[in-house]
Amino acid sequence: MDALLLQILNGLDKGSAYALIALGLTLIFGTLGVVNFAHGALFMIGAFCSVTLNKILNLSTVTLDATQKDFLGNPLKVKTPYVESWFGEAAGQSIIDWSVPLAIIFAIPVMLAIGVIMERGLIKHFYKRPHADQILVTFGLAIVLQEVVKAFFGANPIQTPAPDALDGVMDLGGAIGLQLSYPVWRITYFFFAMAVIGGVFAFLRFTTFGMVVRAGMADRETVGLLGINIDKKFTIMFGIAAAVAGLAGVMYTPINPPNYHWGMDFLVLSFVVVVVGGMGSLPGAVLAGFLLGILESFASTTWATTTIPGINQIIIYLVAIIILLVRPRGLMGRAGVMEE
Amino acid sequence: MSDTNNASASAKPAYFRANNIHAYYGESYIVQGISLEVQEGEILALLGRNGAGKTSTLRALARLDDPMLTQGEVWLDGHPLHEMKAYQAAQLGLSLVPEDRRIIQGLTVEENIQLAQIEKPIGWSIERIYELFPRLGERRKQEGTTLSGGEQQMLAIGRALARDIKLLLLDEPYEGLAPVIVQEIEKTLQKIREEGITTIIVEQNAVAALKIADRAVILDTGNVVFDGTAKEVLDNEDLRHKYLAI
Amino acid sequence: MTLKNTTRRGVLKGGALAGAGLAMPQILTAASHAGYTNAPQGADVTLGFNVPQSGPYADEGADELRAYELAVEHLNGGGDGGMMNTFKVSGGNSMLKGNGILGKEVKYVTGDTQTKSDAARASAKSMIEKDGAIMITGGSSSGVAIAVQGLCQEAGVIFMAGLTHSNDTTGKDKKANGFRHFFNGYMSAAALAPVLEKMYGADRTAYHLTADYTWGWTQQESIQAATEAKGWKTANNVLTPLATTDFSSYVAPVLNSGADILVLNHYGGNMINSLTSAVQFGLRDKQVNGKNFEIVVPLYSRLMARGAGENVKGIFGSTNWHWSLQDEGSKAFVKSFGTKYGFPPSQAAHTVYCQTMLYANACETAGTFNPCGVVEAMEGLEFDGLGNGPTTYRAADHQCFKDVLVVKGKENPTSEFDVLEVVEVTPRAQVEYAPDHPMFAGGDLGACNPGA
Repeated sequence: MDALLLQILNGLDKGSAYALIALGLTLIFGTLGVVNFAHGALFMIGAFCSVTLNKILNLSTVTLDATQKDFLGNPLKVKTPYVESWFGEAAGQSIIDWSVPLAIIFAIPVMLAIGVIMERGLIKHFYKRPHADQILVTFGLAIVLQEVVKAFFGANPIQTPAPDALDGVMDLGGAIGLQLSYPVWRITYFFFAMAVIGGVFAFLRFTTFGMVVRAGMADRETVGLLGINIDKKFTIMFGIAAAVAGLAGVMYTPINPPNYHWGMDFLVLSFVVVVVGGMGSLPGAVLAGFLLGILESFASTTWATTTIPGINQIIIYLVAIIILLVRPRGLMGRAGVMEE
Repeated sequence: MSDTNNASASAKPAYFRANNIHAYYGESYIVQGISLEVQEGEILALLGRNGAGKTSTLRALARLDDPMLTQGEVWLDGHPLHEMKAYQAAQLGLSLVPEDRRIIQGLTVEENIQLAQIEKPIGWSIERIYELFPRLGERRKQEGTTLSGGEQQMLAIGRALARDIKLLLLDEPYEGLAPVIVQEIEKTLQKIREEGITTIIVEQNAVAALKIADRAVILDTGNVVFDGTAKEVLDNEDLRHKYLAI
Repeated sequence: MTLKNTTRRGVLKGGALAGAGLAMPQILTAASHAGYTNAPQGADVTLGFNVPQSGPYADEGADELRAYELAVEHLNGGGDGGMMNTFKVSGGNSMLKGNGILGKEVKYVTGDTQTKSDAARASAKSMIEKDGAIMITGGSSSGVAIAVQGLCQEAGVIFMAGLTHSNDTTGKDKKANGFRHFFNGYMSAAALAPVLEKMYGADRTAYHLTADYTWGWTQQESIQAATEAKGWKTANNVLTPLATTDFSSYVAPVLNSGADILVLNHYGGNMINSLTSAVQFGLRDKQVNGKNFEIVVPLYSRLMARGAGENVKGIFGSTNWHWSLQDEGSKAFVKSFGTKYGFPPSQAAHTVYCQTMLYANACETAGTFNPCGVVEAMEGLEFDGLGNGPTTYRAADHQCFKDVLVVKGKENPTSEFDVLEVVEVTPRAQVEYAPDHPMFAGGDLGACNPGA
């Protein structure tokens, strides 16, 4: 029973990341009609915003300490981070400790800017082109972004720890008499993801801008007939979708050390999520994200992999194939989308 | 009576005119050189059989992407619409009420109207629209697509009136509506006429359209075959048989 | 076909498979006069450096490339000579004089194995056929090493393995044209087991997470055998795909499995991620069966330890070499590499540097680049001064036998390079095995193939 709950929790975590990425993908597809294969790379860049902020905060003055030696026998260079010199050691260490949550503030404008630049610079030239062209160009962009990150940060995953206060395990099962410890940060991530998802939905439902976007997603032509230039609004939506993917990445870094390949790792699954949930359906994307995350988690258990070897690698695609055969519009998609 | 295309240079140019417009749906040549004019405050009925190109003409005038306008000019009150996109034409006061109404899914009745008032120029206030269409007021928080056909037509027209219109394009306002509802819409169009809103109305139900129109233009396979007064059409049985099948 | 297969790698894979399938027997389109493949005609000789530049082991590949470039510089007489100055053969100096190999200037070409066997083969094949490489070396995955070793055997060039730790490379997949300097799973287990027994006692139950390919399997097999011989039990062995990045679903079941030791048969990016997961789930703070839960990483690399950061403290493992060793050879290499690149070399860098030197020396000894001459010169070679103490290149299986290092994650690292400390230097006698040992049996060295 505890093993079961543990796998469900695991699945909700991974599923949160999928849901956020799929949300952004669906926003882009629903508004701009673009299949954006660079979206996974946006998730990866968000994660590297975390890494970058960590590096920036760790920028140090270097003093030579003759009492200690480095590997070549020369006096050891002792690094003191600037934030420590400015704010005192305790405060400085604290700031560095909280670099991942602080990266949220850093990442939002960075991701918005990257999203808008991507859209205005490259993607907008492909609106009218067939989806295959869009896939090729965004995929190419994803590879370029990935190689740039690899050139700067190396190929190995980079540790980005959670703040000490949120870094332990929590006993969840005590109240119900189960032995269930779960990492605090993973729980934090889940709630963070829900907050972001909630924020996006609230934005769409309760703001005028959101209403215009919803209208544009439903009937782009008619919105134009009412005098509204939907393209500008959609550019901003691209930026927002990029920011959502980026935030998902920022906060995911303590769970799994980020590396340049995250984009591709998460991209394929996120597209499957979007297809299963229904292209163009935002609630569908979120729901499917969590479902597939849990499904993947269960398929990775020893029980599953011994019963059907390799199930964990193909389960997601199996589900996608079944959905496409049985109900092409996805779980919550509008009838007619993707059904030709 | 009406100014023809050969008006002398000294005559005042029509409030709205389309000069020799050609439009394509992809490779299909649909609008094959149409010219027409509407005076300010006039109602023009655009008639013809199914497939004659009426809706396509309206969509091209409204500057939508399909059919694509490849040739010709469209002028509204001195502004060159042929150089603009749909939203820019709408911002200049051109308003298309599409066939099948196009009420936006996921938005309430009121939100549909609010959407129309985000960009200037704004026309009637929401309250005035609800005065004209009390049933809309009753259902203001209801989702727009759950309204009946007739109510959706009212909403579509109400949405158009929410903007300050220089030219109203109505595409088949009576389509699919029961005769009782048609009468209601007719009354609405009378009010619009009283307001002096320049209008082009496309309607399969030619008689109903001719009842409120001043002038009529008949299309056949993308070309203009008649351009005269509404009365002329009503009186000319041969004309009606040949191009309108009535 | 899933979407994943239509990636660039998928296309490359398809193309490589097609190419390999079509061209195998006619591989000798390269210059094959003078009786062997790619016999150097002019004033230079070309070596092929086939390293991972992408995939989970890409950082090791980058370090290997640095070491190769350093080795070439030294062979051609540049730099400070590095370990060429300390390299001793059968009691005397090596044959290397700093004028290239056999008077020819050493040039090189590089390839990207992508940590995938088929891409590695295609890359090696291209270097042999198009660039005239006379020796292929490098790699950071046993799957890749075995595949490329096979290709080199057929092509008639020498393969000097890079970082490959699976028993199979000089076990059931050994080839006459191939040589391995790096140690293997059996040796790691033989060195670690006594230390683990001393530190953790004999009454332990181990849970293994194992990378699902030849290296993972043979290391796991070796560790299980060696620890069970000390009295440990093995609760479970779960195979994890090499491409896995999120190990949480594998780590979670460990908690309630009754095991009190987690053995991570993972390397590179895998190890960083699995260790992070294990620590995140609080394994290191747990008490099971009245004992502290411990984690063991049998094959360490300093690069990956750096990537794992705090999490490696106090964790035991083994390495082939470490920059803190104080013998003349190690110090010379650290100084040479460190001065050029600004940080100490990894064990991957060390082993490929040694392999390059050993190959060059064998060519000089044999007086030819002909693979059969090189094989004869290398078999049974006794050498020293390359950082591991007296070493033998055993003729029966082309495996180097030398001391093995048991290392531990440092509690208080002084810098980002100083994350491991050497706990014990296990003498080579303790890690030796007969050529027909069951874990290495089943293969045939065969005869050298000059390719003519």
